[in-house]
Amino acid sequence: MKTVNLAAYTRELHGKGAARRYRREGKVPAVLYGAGIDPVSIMVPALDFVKAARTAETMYMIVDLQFDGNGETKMALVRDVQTDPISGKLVHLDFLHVSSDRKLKMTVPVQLNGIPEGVKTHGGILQHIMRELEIEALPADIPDSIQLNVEELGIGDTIHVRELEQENIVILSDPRRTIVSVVPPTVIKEPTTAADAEAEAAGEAELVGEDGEAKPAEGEGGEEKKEEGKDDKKDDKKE
Amino acid sequence: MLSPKRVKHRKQQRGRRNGKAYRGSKVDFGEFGLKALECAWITNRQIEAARVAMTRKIKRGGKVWIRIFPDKPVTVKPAETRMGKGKGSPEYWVAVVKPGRVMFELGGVEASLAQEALRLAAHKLPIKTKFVQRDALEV
Repeated sequence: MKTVNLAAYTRELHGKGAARRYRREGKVPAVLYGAGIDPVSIMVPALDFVKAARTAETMYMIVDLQFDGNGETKMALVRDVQTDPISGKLVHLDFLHVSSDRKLKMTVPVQLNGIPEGVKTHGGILQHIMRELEIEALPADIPDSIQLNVEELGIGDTIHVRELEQENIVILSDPRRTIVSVVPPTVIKEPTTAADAEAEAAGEAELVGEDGEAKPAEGEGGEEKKEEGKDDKKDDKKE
Repeated sequence: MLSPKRVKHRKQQRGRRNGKAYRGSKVDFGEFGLKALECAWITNRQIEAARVAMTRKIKRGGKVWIRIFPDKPVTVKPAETRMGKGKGSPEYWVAVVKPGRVMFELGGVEASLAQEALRLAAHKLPIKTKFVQRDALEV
């Protein structure tokens, strides 16, 4: 796995006001934690992190955090990336401190190579279902990505986790899960008759009671009956 | 058109739509998505129109995911009716969308084709949207 260098600064001020100030200055608030160290509040330059993620082609990379002033360096793994749901800007990062002699669990992207036979000749659709795999390995053995050759896949063919063979790493993801499959092309079904179209447009939903049993829908008829009942009572009083 | 098969109650109150969509704000199934930048009630007709626009553009290749479902009934009172006499009858279904929600996703197509298909879909919707890619970071 690619290792990138990133400058880190210890963060003296906490809370949303200070965090927002740091973000305005182009730094992302972050935290560094892990075995053997106390959690430290830090911040990293946002632009540098984004550039590093683009070169590593993943957000979840190994980072050498170079602290300001004392020249201390700590190896860490990007554990979590929080982004704003609308703008997509970085909000907060989690770094997990790792040592080179301890195995660690992490997710690695799966990269597909080639165009499947089923897509090329029969117009099938390649479905990339699992894009990341959970693995356990020493930091030096972690691959950038798990390469998968899909050129020979025909329509209906799939590759499961159990079919992967990797050296020096243990795959922790469920072996029965599908990583990639080629499915037949979708056929757009247009409503053929006017009756079908009307039935679709109506979109009447069945009513279900609290016990989960179907009940007849309360229509306008029911309300009318109630009103009629009221009128009858009024008439009785008049008489 | 999308609509629920079974519901517990025929009519609902309107509710509020403050805040952002924290759930469903990332591209999870395909490679490209259309993200809402405003809040709105998206009707099942609008969802269907957007889906048709996308599938016609990408033709046979690719796959479309619809990440919103219209599960909220909207009632309307008949024209020229005096106020009162109870709530109107259910007319159509809507999906409540908040800013940040990825409404549609596309996979298995080129980026340029996906962008064009999602642009056509965006024209069928009553809100501002933006084209997003999987795992794209912004500064």
